[in-house]
Amino acid sequence: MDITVEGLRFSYNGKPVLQKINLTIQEEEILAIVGPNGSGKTTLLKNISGVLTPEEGAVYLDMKRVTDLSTREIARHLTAVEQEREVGFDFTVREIVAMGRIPYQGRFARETKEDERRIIKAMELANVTSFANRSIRELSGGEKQRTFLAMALSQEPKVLLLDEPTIHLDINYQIQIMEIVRQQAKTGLAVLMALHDLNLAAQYADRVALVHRGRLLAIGEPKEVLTPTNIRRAFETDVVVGHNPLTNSLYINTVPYRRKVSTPLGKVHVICGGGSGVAVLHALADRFSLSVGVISPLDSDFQAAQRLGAKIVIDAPFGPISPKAYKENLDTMRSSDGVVICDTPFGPGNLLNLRAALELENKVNIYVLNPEEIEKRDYTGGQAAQLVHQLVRSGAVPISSVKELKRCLAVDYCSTDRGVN
Amino acid sequence: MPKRVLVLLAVLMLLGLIASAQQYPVTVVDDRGLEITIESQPNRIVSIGPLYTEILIDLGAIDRLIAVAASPDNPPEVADLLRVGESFSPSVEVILALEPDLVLGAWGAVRDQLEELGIVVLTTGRSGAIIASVSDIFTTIRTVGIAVGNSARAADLIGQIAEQIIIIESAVLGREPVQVAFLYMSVPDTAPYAIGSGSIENELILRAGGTNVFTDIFGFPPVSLEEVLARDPEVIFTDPDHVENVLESQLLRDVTAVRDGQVFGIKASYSTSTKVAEVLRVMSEFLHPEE
Amino acid sequence: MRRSPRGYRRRVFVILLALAAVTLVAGVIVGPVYIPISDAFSHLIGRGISADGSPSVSYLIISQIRLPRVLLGLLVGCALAISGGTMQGLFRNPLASPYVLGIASGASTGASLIILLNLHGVLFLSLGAFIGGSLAVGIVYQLAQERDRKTSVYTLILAGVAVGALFSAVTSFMIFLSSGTERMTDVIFWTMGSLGRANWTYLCVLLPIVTLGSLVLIAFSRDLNALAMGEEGAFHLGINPETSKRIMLGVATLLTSSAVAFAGTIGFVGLIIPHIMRLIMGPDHRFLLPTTAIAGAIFLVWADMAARTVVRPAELPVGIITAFLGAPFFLYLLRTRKARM
Repeated sequence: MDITVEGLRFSYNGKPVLQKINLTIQEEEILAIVGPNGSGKTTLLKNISGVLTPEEGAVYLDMKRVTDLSTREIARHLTAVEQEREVGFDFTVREIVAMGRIPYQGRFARETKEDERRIIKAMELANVTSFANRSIRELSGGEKQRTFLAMALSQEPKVLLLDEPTIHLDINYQIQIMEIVRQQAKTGLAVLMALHDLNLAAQYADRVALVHRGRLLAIGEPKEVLTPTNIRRAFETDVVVGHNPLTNSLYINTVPYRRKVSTPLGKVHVICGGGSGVAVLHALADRFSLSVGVISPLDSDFQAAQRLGAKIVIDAPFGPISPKAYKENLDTMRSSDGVVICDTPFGPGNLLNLRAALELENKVNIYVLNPEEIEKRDYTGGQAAQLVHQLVRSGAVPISSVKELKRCLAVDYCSTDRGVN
Repeated sequence: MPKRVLVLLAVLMLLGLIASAQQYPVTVVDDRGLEITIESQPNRIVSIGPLYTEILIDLGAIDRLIAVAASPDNPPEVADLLRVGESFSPSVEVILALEPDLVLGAWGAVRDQLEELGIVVLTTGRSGAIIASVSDIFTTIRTVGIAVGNSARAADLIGQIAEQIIIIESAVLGREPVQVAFLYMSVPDTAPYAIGSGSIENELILRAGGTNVFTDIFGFPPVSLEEVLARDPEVIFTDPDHVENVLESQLLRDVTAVRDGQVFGIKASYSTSTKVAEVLRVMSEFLHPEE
Repeated sequence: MRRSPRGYRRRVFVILLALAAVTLVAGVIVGPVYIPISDAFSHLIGRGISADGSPSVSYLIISQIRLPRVLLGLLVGCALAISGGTMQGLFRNPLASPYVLGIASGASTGASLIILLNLHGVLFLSLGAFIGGSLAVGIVYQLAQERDRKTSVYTLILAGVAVGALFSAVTSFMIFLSSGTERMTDVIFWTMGSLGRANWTYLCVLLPIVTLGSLVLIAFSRDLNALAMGEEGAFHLGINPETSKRIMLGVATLLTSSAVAFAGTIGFVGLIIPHIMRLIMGPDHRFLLPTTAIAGAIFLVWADMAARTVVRPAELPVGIITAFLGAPFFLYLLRTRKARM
């Protein structure tokens, strides 16, 4: 059973909401529809399920136009769970799940043994059996969603439409629902769901459709569709797309809004690498104008620095620092008001950063994070440790936490005779 | 007396008796304009309305009255008689159980049910069982008289009442009509109900030598206190329990009737009764006391 | 619930049926005129015509007054209760009543007009009430239709309130016009409702309407259940919400208008009985509607018995009794049962 959407157009009160949508959904696949609020996700779902009638174009359920089918016929093949469902009366969970059999029952029919079997099975699949006799009104958001999912499952559809099934749910319930859906898709169900959570979509969907202002911006595998470019176009925001090794899917992180430092208190240079600088950079970004170096573009601190608009002295990875980069770094440090050495692991590749710090001869305030632990971070056979101890002996301030660093910098700033440095 | 005269007298009396006995069956017209046929002299009469009860008493037929509906206007003679419910809500069942041969004064759904059960119901007056004029009262008396076989007595009664009315009317003929209002003010200083045209009180006021200041209004609607002030009646009739309310009314202080203390209580139910001439006399005395 | 829901429901149903039979008999036995029970029974089975072919008075009372009245009470109570239950299901609101779309106001206006125009006979009265009630609902329905011929239940309720208020105003005006006359009493009493106009002919008209109408509504129980999930939810379950709504509204309106036409506007039955039954039977309309219908029938007949006897031989309008009986019992039920609405 597959769904084909051809040339779908739809308007509300003359305002166009969907334009020329074409897509297909196959069995055993999960297609996630993502897009900003108001992009038409819900309207698209409603056109597919038959609640709304397209202005132009058509939706085909296995070659048959949905608008030509009776509601009963549709219900035997396709069902949907809307975003908000208010149940008017105190039905029990079991009674609600049992309603999923309505499309197969006559007006005066009672539940058959077959019906009962399917109801029980659906409840088990959605994990609601333990509160089958409780009233729906007493349940939590997650339990309610699972109940409605169970109802949809007892209907034994071939196509399942879900509109924001995880909205308002706690994270554990979100995962629960998605796992159940994935299970069902594996057994042959075609699933179309509108999601606002891009990461959930990336993790669970086989294909993703990105909708923007009623048009299909992109459709395909998650990594093809969920690119920073596409997301910037659709959501008007910058993201960083990474790979989550635990779930083997991509994950999207939004870039925090770059606050323009109105008037930086000064310039601080941060020597970091391997992620050790992230906390420091974030802590200082709103007060100081930052620079970072020397690091390679592959370094995770590079990304952080980039996000925060720091000046970055870069060099090629996997090798000692080039003389050019070294000089640039030194010059940058000399023109700073302070230099922070993070608890970075030092190896031959970045050892020269420490040497550069020494060359400052304490004309610039130097702050070292956790210098007493340098031995644990020394991969240069003791040279890094030696340099750090030397720095401390010649006046570098040992700092034990980012908080302390902030305080220290603030105090020093206050104590500095401005104009002299 | 010669024997022949006695025999003649006996024959005449017999003829008279036969003549009166031949009265039945009679046909009368009710308030709906329908013909009601009464097969034989009714001896088990149930009366729903006080007017009919009074008429029966005046026609000397009270011994044929077996039950009445409860009403504050019932004459004292029926105090011990069986009750069949309220006059506005009598019980069909109870009436049926008494097996009456004539029910007087029933209307609406109750009348429909009784007629369906084969009971003869007689109600007169205007459409809707309404008594709104002296002639309506006369019609009722005449009709009931025919129905119970006392048409002669009925005619007498009508004549008596008419006589009394004429006397009273002629006494005030030619006098300047007095401006009158007939009001009900159960709560002091609130908008009263005024009796307008289409009511028997209106007619009585005219006959008693007055003019109803509210004659342009139909029925018994609430009117504003302003209207009463504007129309400034010289005499106000009201329910005996409301006289105080009117006299002490702050807002009606400046009305001529109130200023002069010309506020009198008249029990309205007496107007739709055989004592209507009494009411007229009392009214005329209030309106034209010099008489 | 520890007991199997099915067994519990079946028991309640059987109890109700038994109660209905008892009610029928009780209603015929009770009345302002004393009739020995044995006589009452023999009259019920048709005996009571004396040798010369003329019926005895007690036979007439039983067969022509009490029995039609009890049957009218059963039919009207059934119609009002099942319509009320349907309205509550359609509007997903346990505070809805069969009068929510302005039927009562419209019927009152129609009846008042007939009374005011002095058209005699219960037939005119019933016609006037029926037409008035149907007219009101028709106007409400038209007003609530949206562009695509769909009707939102929200708009229906609002339109019902507005139209109801309008018709009420017209009725009040008519009462004003008839003030001081017996007609005013007539109108006011009509609005309080009474089973006193019972008649075998009217029963023959009302019986098929109520039985067929009730069966249709019961047949749509599943639709009502599905609609509890919302109109979209019902759509996804294979129900056509517009068609179902239209049919149910139409039939419920017919039932209510017919009931009101013959008995006046009796309040409370259509509001409280479905509510009470929902607390007992649960919200599944397949069981709720039939039991509500029977419970409504029983309730109204008992209320009428009280109306006939508390101020005997006068009769109270039965609407007063239904209000007095309905409210406290409902409060009691709310307190003792965990609301299983």
